[in-house]
This record gives sequence, C-alpha cells and structure tokens, in this order.
Amino acid sequence: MMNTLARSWRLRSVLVGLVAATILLTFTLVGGTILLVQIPNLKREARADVAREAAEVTARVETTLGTLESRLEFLGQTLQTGATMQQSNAMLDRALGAGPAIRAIYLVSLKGKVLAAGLAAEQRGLRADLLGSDVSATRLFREVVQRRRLVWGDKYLSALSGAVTVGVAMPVDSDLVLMAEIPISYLLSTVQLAIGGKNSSVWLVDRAGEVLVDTMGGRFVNTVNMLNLPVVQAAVAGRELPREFEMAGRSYYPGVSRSGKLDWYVVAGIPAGLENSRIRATVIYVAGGFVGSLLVGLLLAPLWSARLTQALTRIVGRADQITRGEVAGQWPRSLITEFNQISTDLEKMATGLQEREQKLQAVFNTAPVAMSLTDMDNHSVLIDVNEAWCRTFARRREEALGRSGVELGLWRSLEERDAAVQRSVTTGGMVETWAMRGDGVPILCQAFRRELRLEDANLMIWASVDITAVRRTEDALRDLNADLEARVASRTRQLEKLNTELSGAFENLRMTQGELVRSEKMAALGSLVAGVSHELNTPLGNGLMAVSALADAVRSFKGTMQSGLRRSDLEDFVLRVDQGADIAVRNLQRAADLVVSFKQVAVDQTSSQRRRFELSEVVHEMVISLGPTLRRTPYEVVLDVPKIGLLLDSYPGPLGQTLGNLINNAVMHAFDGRQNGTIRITGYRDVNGWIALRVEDNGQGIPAALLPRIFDPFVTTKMGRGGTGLGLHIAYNAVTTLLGGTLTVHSVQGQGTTFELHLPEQAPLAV
Amino acid sequence: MLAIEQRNAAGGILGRPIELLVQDDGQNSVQAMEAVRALVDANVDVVVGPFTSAMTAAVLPQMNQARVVIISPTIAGEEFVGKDDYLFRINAAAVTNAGNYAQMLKLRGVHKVGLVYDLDNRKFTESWSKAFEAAFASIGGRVVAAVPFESNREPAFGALVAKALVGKPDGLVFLATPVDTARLAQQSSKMAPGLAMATSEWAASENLLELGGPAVEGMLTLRVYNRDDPSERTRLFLEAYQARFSRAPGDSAVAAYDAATALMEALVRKSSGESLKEALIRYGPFEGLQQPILFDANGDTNRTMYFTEIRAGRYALVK
Repeated sequence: MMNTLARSWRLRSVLVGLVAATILLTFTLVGGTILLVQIPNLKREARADVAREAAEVTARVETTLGTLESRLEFLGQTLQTGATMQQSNAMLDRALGAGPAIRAIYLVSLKGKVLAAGLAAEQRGLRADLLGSDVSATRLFREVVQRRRLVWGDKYLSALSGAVTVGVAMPVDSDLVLMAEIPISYLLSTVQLAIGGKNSSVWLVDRAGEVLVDTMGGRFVNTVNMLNLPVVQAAVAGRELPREFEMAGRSYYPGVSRSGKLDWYVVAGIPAGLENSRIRATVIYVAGGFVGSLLVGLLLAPLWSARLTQALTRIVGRADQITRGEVAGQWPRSLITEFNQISTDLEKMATGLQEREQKLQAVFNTAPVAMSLTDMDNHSVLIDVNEAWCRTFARRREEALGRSGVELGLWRSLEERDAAVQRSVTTGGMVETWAMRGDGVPILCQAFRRELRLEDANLMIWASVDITAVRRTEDALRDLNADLEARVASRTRQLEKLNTELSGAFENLRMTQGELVRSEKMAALGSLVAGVSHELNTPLGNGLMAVSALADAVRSFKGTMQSGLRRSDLEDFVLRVDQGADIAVRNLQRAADLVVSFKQVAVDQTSSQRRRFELSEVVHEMVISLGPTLRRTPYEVVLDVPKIGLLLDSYPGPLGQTLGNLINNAVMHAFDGRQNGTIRITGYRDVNGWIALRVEDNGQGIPAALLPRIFDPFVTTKMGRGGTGLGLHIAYNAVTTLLGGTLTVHSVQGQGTTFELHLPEQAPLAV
Repeated sequence: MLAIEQRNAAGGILGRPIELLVQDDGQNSVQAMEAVRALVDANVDVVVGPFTSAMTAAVLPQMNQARVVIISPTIAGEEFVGKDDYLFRINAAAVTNAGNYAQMLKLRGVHKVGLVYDLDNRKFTESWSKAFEAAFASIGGRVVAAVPFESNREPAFGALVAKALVGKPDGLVFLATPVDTARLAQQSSKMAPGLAMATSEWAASENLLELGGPAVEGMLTLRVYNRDDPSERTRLFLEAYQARFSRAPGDSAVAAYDAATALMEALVRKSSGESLKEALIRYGPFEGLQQPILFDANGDTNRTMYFTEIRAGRYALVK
C-alpha cells in the first residue's frame, strides 16, 4: 500500500535549492558581517577624509590670504607719510606687483577719502575717478577703523571697480588705512585649484551661505544658498555636524572648515552611503561575490545533481528491469556509499525475490494439481498455468497464456461455464464441472476457485483435479458395494454356523487340555516319587550297609573279646565303629534331608500353598531334589542366586515345578547327545522391581521355527521318547496365571537357550 | 527662495512640496537662453525671473513657445507692458515710474536734469528715459544731457558725470546698477557736491548705501516696498530674511517674494483644466507683502511704489 506523500521534488531541484540556500545563508552571514563591520569603518574614514580635505582647503585659503596680508603689511611698513600723492600712487602701483592677486590698493584717510590708489596698468585710467572717492560707508572701512587692525571684508561689489571683490584693510600709522581689493576670481581660482585635487565635493560658501565655488562646474555658484542647511548652521553655531547632509538630491558625509579671516566656510562632502565609491565597492564586491557564487552554484548544482542522479537512475532502471521480469546484468555502483548500499540491498532484495519467484514457480509447476491464474480485470485471460494443468487439459502453455478459458475451448458450453462460476460463488469454492481437454476428450473436474486481490491486479486462482476416473471408480465401487453387502450377509450366516461348531470343538479341546495337564502333573508327580525313591535308596542303602558293617564289627569284637583283647584289636574296633557310624550318620542325615526336601516339594507341588519365601530357597530345594537325576549326567548346574533379598509372597510349589521343568528340558533337549553342558541359574531383581530368574544353558538351542510355539501345548521334538510336549506349557501357565509373571525364551541354534522368569513380589491373589 | 522655503515648511502646495531649480543668466543673453532652455526641459511649471529687461527679452520668445508662465519681479520695460503673453510682471511699468519720478523731482525743485544711463539694459533705460523726458517736459522740466554708457566696458565714471554736468543741470538722474550708481554718485559728489541726485528703482538696494557711502546722501529713489512699514507681516518677513540670508532684503528680493507668493496662491486656487496663466489672471488679487497683487489680462500689475531718500545711510520714506 503506497502512501500518498506530500509532493516530492526532483533531486536536482533539491540540490539546487540546497546550494542556493547555503550560499544565501553564507553570504547573508558572512557578507552581512563584513558589511556591518566594514561599512562603519569606511564611513568613519570617509568622514575623517572629508574633514581633512575641508581643513586643507581652508588652510590653503588662509595661506593665500596670509600671503596677501604679509604683502599689505610690508607695504604698510614701507609707506612713508608725507609722500606725495604721485609717489604714493607709484608705490601702490608697484605694490600691486604683476600678479592677479590684488586688483587695487587704496590709501584712505580716516575719514574715508581715497588719497592714493594703486591700480593695474590697464586700469590706471580710472585712477582719477577713484581718487577723492568716499568709502566711509563701506563695512570694511568701518570695521578697520573700529578695530584698528587688519580686517578682511566679505565679498561685495567694489564701488571703485564694480567687480565682486574681497577686501582687506589695515591701519597704517595713526591716520591712514590701506585697503586692497582682491578679485574674487583670484581667490576662487586658488580655492578651485585646492579643491580640484580632492575626492570630496567642496562648496565654498560665504558668511551669508552663498556658494562661491564648487567642484561641480559652478552649478551651485550664484544659484544656491546653503545657509539654512543644518550642516552649515551647525558649523556656524559651532555645534557638532550632522552625520550626513543632502545637497541637490544626494547625501554626503560632511566636513566643514571655517576660514577665520573671511568668515567663509569650506563645506566638503564625500558621497554617503551607496553613493560613496568605497562603500559601494564593498557592497558590490559582497553582492557580486554572492551573485557570482550563486550563479556558479546554480550552474554547477544541476551538473552535480545530474551525476548523482545518474547513479540513482541506473539503480532505478535496474530495479525497473527486475520489476518487469527482465534478467539484466550487474547492479550499478557509484562513488556514493549510500547509493551503493541501496544498490546492494536492492540486489539482495531482487535476488530474494527471484529466488522466491523460482520457488513459487517450482511449487506451482510441481503441484500435482492443475492450477491456473486468470486476470479478472482482463476478461479472465490466463496469466499462468502449471505443468499439471497442461497435462490435465492436454494443452501447451504457450497456446493457453493470454487467452481466456472460453477462447481456448476449455468449457463444453458457455452455460456450463456460467453455471460453474455461479455455483462456485454460492458454495464458496469447490465445484464439479465438465471441461474439455485439448484432444477433445471431456473430463470431469473438481475445481477450487480463490480470488486474489492485489494492489494492481485482480486475479483468480483455479485448481482443478481430473476426477473422471475417480468418479467412474467410485460409481463402480458403489455397485460392488451393494453386491458385497448381500454376499457378506450370506457369508456371515455361514460363519456363524462354523463358529458354533468351532466353539464346541474348542470346549472339547479345553477339557482335554485340562485332563492332559492333570495327567502331566500326575506323571510329574510320579517321576518325582520315582526320583525321590531312587534318591533315598542310595543313602538309606549306604546307611544300612554301614550299620551292617558295624554290627559285623561288634560281632567280630565280641568274638575277639572271648579270645583275649589286644590293644590293636580295640583300636581296630573303635576305628571300624567310628567309620561305620560316620558313614551311617552321614547317609542317614542325607536321607533325612532328602525327606524334608521332598516333603517340602510334595507339599508345595500338590497343595499350591501361598507363602513368603526367598527365591533361593525354592531354587536350592529343587536342585537338591533333582540332584540324583543330575548326578547321572555329565552336565553341571551353576547357581547364582542371592540367599536373601529376593523375597516373594507367592506359590513356591508351582515355582519349583516350573524350575524343575526348565532344568529337565535343558537336560533332555539342550544337551541331547552331548558329553557336557552347563546350566546356569541366576536370580536378580529386574529393572521393574520384579524378581527375575534366568535359566540358561549352552546346549544346542531351539530351532527358530519352533521358538514361537515353544510354550504351546504338545510341542515337542521328542514325542514318544520321553517328552509329553506339555512341560513348558504347564510351566508357562503356572508362571503367567498363578504367579502373575512372565516367561520368555531366547535361543540361538547351536549356542544355547535362555529362559527368563519375571515374577512380581506378590503373586496375584486367587479369585 | 525664502517664500518657497516657507511654503514648503508649511506643507507645500496642496500637500505637494515645491521644487526650486535655479539657473544663472549671468546677464548674458546667450547664457540666459540656455538657462531657460534647461529649465523648460526640466518641465518647470513656472519661471521666476529674469531680473532685467534685457534678459527677459532674450528669453520671452522661448517661454511663450513653451507656454510656461514667467514672472519677472523687477522688469518694467515698456515693451513688456500690455502684451498678452506668458510674461507676468510684479513691478509697475517703467513708464509709470518714470512719470512719477518726473513729478517728484519737479516737486523738489529740479528743473534741469542730466541723465546717465546704462546701455547694457537699454530696454529698460531707454524706455524709462524716454518716458521721463516726456513726462518731465510735460510739466516744464528739461533733460539737458543724456549720457549713455556701457557698464561692462568699465567706463571712467568721472568722465561720464562730467559730461552729464555739461549744461548745468540741477539734478542728476542715474539709470544704472546699484554699483554703477554708487560710483556715479561718488564722482558726482566729487565734482558737484550737493547736487540733487536720483536713481531709478533699478538701483534701490542696500549695496547702493554701502558703496555710495556719504556720496549718495540725499539720493532719491523709488522702492518696491516700504522698509519701515510697522506691520507685523513686514517685520516677520524682514526677520526671516535676515535670519536666512544674513542680510537685509533688497527690492528685487521683496518683489520676488511677492511674485512667488502670488504664483503659489494661484497654483492652489487653480482648478484642473485651467492653466496657470489663466489662474493668475483670474484669481487675483493675491496678498503680497504690503499690498495686493492683481494681474490684468496682460499679466501686468499696477504696483504702489514708495519714494525714498537716502538719509544717514538709510532709506527714508518720502511722504
């Protein structure tokens, strides 16, 4: 399920945006810092510069004026009172010098009358006019008279020459005044020269604020009055200058300097803010750098992004191929770790997908059931079919894919198809329907349908099993079944009859078995008695013989006593008596023992009494009682039964009988014809806590064919030769029923036989 | 300038500030024409100036062609009177003034007059002297000498005065700049001390006082305004002017002030669709510094002038 994300951007746009943003930020920070730091510095420098330049100009003006003052002073000193007017005129003429600095010099009386005048050559014609003129009303004259020292006068129109003039006057002696006219053009050209080399714009203004000279081609001269500019007012008032002033629409940093002599002001201005070339340059550099790097970045960013996306595009392309199912080559690698990671992961994913695909395909095709995949969104055309399908419907895969079932002729009729689909919808899956194989043979199919809704496809999976044969078999079976029922019924009747007969026979057999068991018991008893008799016979005989010998010895002694006893005769007698008594005692004791044992066995054997006893008791007793029989054979019996620890609450009689049977068996069958043999009797407690008794021999063993039937009645290999075929059966019965245990046999032909008895400590209680 | 600065400080015309562009005609007609062209090219609404008839004559054709109103505060030449053009005048006509002068002189006992006039401003001086002569003659006076000169050539003023004194006038009339008048007066007081003198309204300025000194004592002149007017308005104006320019205003300054006042008022009252020329004519009288300004259909006004005599270095009103 894909999430609908917010709109996404191309990598190129992102990179470009990133670059732009980085540059923007960098320059904003760096450039801003530079500007913030540098611009105030530049402003400060500019202000310092401009103040300096204004001061320089003023200094120049003052210097020039100072020079003129000196000339005037010098003249004043050299003037002689009492000189004639002519002399004075001549002197004044000379004092003018050749330069343009002074246009006219007048010698004036204290009343203001012009006494002598020095003029430039070309103006000397006016001298007559000038002499006798009254200058008492002029400000300059009034001031020099009042102050009685050298004074400078602001520009004015010279009454004597009509030109704009700057005047300087100084008292000479006590009653004369020297007044000189300086053409303003001279001063102004001096100033012009001084300010021409300056970086600032300079305006020379007089005390009334009128502009006298400027650095802009005289644009402001005679047209602008600067008196009311805050900067000029501040300068006049001696206050601190404002930081900037405006003139003709531009802003300047001001520097104002005052010429004390003339009360003129030199107003200098360096363009402020961005008008200032240095500030502008700084800003332009910063801005230029910003724009430059932005451009470079914006130019390069698409290139870089193209390279990055190239790697990505290749990965995407490769993934695309995988999606379309094409097999393609290597997964692309690039310089970028993350992309390589993606590439590697995609490769793994693709491999995994391919493997899964292969797995599924294998499973699909291995499935023994015909399976097909149809596209619901595309008229149910077949997308895929497995091998089983091809076999079932006898069609080739190539001819089936891309066509619908109807097209292929899978259905016998459209109605059948619709009905089948309908049924599958209602029953929810499994339907039975007829289909047509590719070879024209109709088959009955059991079809399972399952829908598969995917993200971009609606698929239907059909699994079909050809049940034509099965159905036929089923039908046949049903018929047979019916038949069978009848047959079974009659058979049952027959069998019932047989059963009855068999039951009768069985009953007979049981009775006979009981009889036989009884007779075996009697026979056993008989043989036991015979054995006992035989056994007793010997010790009793021996005893009898010994006692007889004694009697003889006594008789002999009696006889000897008659004839005289010798010591040797007594010794002899005693010896014989001793010997004889010994033998008799031994043998009688033995007989007594035997009797006791036999009693025991008899009691045990016939009465089947229950008591507590140690296993070893019974084993010993039985072995003793069989002693005589065994003695006649070359076979030996080895006992390995612990004296205590194997306590039983059971029937010793049958147990002993069983043991006896086993031993007898060994003797009779195992060692048949052999010269030697060993019977090992072992008693132990088994893993279940039961008492176990093993009787094993190393005889000829029991044939394998006989082994399973060895405990059955009448199984014998010695029929007619002393075997009744019941011994083991009786033993088996006794162990299993009376004693409640198990009796098993293991034998290897040629090696030996082992019988194992496992008994519970407590024999089952009699019912 | 002061008027405009004051107006701007008071909020401008209808809320819009007035921009002042200044050009110097340098009393040179070529320069004057260039100056005017520059102003016209800068799309000025109105031109205040020039201050001399010569210059005005030079630039009037241009102004008429450009249809831009030009107000001259000072010119009084006859040729400018009664013409329906774009020229507006603040000053009284020279002819009128000259007539008044004639009468005043006669009143003061001057019957014979020697005239010295500057040809560099002949438009004014010639029409003035002609009018004066006629007026003077009509009341029994006589112009015994008329001495022209050219100011730019720096003439010897002594010689000029001498020439004017031929014929023994009992009064000299100078039609010249304040400076030239002062120089003429200087020569006159040397050569003919105590002789009555008069100078046209053209020379009435503070410079005359300073440069003339005692030589101009008793000189008669016509002024555009009454300096001793006790009215508040005059006093405030004088104070403002002094504060702004560190000197007292001359006649041309006051006339210019009135010109500026009138045109600014006209601009305010002018309705859209009306030209300034029409507004100036229609919406008068405008309140000048000391008198109302009313333009007739030709842009001329009839200005009340004040006769003054220089006494003890000051202009004193002559009743």
